[in-house]
Amino acid sequence: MAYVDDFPTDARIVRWNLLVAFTALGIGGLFGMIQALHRTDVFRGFVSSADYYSVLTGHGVLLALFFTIFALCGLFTWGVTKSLDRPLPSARFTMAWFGFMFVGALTATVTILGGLVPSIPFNADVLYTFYAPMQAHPAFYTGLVLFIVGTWMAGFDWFRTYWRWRGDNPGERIPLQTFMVLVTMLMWYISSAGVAVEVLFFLLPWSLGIIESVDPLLTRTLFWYFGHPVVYFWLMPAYFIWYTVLPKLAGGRLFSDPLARVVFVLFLLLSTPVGFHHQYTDPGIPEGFKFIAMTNTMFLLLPSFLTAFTVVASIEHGARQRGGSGRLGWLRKLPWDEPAFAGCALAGLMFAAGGFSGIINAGMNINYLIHNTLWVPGHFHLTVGTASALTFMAIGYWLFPQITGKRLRLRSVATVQPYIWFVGMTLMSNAMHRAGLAGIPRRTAEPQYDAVTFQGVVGGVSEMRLQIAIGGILLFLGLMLFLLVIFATWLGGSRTAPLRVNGTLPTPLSGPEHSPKILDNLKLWTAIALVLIVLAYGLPLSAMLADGLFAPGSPPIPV
Amino acid sequence: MEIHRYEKLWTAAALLLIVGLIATVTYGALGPGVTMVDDSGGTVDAGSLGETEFGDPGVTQTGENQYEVHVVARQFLFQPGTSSPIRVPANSEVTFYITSADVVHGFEVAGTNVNVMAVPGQVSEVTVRFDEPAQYGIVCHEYCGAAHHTMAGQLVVVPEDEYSAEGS
Amino acid sequence: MTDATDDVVNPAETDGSADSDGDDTPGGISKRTLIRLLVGFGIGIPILIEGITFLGLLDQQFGGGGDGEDDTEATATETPTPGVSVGDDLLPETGRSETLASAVLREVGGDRWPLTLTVEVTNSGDTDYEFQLLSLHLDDGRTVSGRTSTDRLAPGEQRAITGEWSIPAGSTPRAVEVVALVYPDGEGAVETIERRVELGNIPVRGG
Repeated sequence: MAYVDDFPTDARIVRWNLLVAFTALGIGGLFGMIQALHRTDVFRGFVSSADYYSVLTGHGVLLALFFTIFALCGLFTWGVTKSLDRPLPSARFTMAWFGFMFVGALTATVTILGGLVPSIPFNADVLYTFYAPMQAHPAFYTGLVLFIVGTWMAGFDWFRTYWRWRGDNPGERIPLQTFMVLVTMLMWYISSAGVAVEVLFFLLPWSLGIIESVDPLLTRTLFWYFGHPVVYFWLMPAYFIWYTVLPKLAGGRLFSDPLARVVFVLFLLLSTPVGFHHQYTDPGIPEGFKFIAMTNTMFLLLPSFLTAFTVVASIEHGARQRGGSGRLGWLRKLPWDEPAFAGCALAGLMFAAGGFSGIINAGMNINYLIHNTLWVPGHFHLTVGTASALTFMAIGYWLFPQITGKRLRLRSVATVQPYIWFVGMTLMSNAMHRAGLAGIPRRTAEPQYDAVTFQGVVGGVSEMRLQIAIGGILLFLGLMLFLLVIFATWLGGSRTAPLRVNGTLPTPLSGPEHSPKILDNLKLWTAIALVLIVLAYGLPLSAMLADGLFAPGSPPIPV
Repeated sequence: MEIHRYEKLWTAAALLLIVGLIATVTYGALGPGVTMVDDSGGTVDAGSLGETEFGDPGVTQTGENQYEVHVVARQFLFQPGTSSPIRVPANSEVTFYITSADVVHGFEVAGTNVNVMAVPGQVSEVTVRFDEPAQYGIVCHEYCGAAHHTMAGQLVVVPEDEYSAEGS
Repeated sequence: MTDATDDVVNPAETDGSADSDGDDTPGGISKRTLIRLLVGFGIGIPILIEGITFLGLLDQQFGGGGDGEDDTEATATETPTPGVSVGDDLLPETGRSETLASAVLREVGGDRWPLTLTVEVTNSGDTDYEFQLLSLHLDDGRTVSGRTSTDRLAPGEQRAITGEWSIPAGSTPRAVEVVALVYPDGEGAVETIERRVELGNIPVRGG
């Protein structure tokens, strides 16, 4: 029996979330290809350089907010209902949060498209970070608010399901998938408060003319209070898959449930008090607090290193179950021709590289060398662009049939797709990193200046541009292949009989019974997380507020 | 909680790496003395820069080999920098005071580690040593509007004997 | 530890068969060969690219020449951009002065931005003279047409003309076509001088 047969109502919500996610992925990905060709001067016929920034805003918002978070909502709904073995309590409430998220996302997207389509009277050419004093149309901010509120409601839906389960199962350990969902959402509530305050109390009234000016440094700081933990909101669903599903795909079992819990708790504690590492070159923030952010960030490496160990150990276990032997020979026994496995494994591999380039970003004074250069997008296309995106695509191959009841179609296309993505991303990201070392700026439609020549550290600038363009085209190809497979599966014939599928997840080698109960004490970890945030942000924020909530203020500058 | 031996070793190695990275950054701060931009530049009213030292941006000599440069970043140029290059002599210590008259801009001297944000209302203060004569390009690397990609300038480090202070 | 077996034998059509290497997939290619191709190219090419980069970095750091003696990496373009800036004469060869008094490019909403060039023309010669601003050439090769003329100026006369072009948003003006007409004293042909004048950098002004 597939999930869609066991949980028909919830399967529908999972389907909707994933479909919206994949639609956002398609549009955002198309924009990405346009950008890759435009900024490298390979082809500038799609949009003008001024409209490039509308495309860039769309790329960032559609992919980094809507694709990732709708995918998370689909995966977490599936995970909670499956691991607790009960449906979400109220279909109406579930539809409500989806509705908020969808309407919010649609509104924001329409305002962004207004920069490209003259007949839409709104405009939001402010990029995914929407820094004041640049001002977008109030509808943009409103859309974001609705979307975020929808995610809060989604979290409440999952918590409620858990509380009901708890009522029937006192004293039991929280099933691992639900544990991960709850911890992730706690992190989200804490961190999204920053951007919610920024938009609700400052940017939205300011864009409506209710308040006259806002303090750009304060609003920027509130954004980055949220802006770092949001990357964990993208990453933790990928880890959720790597820990709970990938071992099965490899033919094995999760090496350690307790360590998985430790990793997620570490993310809850450390995700937020690091935001200043996005503001190392900002004035107005004392160096001591930048240093604290730096040390916290370096310690954030730990949960990822632990994950690397556990995931590889789990896969190795699977390979040996399939007959693998030798120190490294077991790698050959893994199902590399199975798209769900291959995608997740390649995503994990690429994430390691992304983590290392992130270390450079985190290195405070080292950051001077690459801040706001093309190195930074090189880094995050490895992390959110592959670790998250490729995992979500790969697990789509495995999950989509189970939530629709339809067989996966075009398997041979799906088999090749993760590899195309991996090669394309290597080409593009490698060249972006090198371009960043030369000082070439990010977020720029035409990084070719009369006054400035860039000197490549390894390889020449024109060769880097070409590599970025080729990588971008390959990625777009990979994306189209993925959407083709999903589309073909979705439309592929009607369900004649229930899909025979084994969707059960094996128990871990080292189960929850081996993990200290304190790990399940969510209140404790939340409290510690809040203390760490006060230590990291308390003084700098009060300094910014001391001279006035809105001072030094800037009036809106519409773009 | 049982932890596999390899996992313990791995965790220890990871912690060692983390501490090593923190030590590297700390060395950079203490040894070569690379300081981060902070709040020492103070705040300013972006709407009335004309009444501040930014009212007449440019290079001023403040000591034997010490100079100050006040730079205003605005849509879509640097003052000075775009219409005429910023000129300082070699073998000098130059303190830049950078702010923005409108939106957030970036100030990056390509190929160097002079890389700061120009935030309206705040002043970014950075001190740079220029040893050799050279010519540098300056790029705005923070999106600031539809002509962001046209915003650039130049910084020229002139041989000492050829330099004559431009006055304020 | 043997609980894994019931998951390995999955009947799932979504999961596909998990065992023997000798299976032929529909394309006729064996499973083992398929995996070798996928992993070989799919992971091999990236490893190659990263390896080349890494070696390049090592070479740059430790090998090669030139490091240490020239620490500064100058990044400004060496030769100043040739081009007429505000205050320069557009056609030095005519003996009359055509001074670029102002060059303003403004960023406004919408997809075209206004560029205005104001030229002050003084007919310091002894015959009639006319100066015209025509098409504007952009960096990307496109051209925006236009025509502004001083009309015929008598010797000693002075006039300022302002040419306006609506250029695609975000594009960069590169050069302007100009025509100078030197009228003869009495009968005879008009001397026509057509030039494409390179323009210096015109910073965009924000709205």
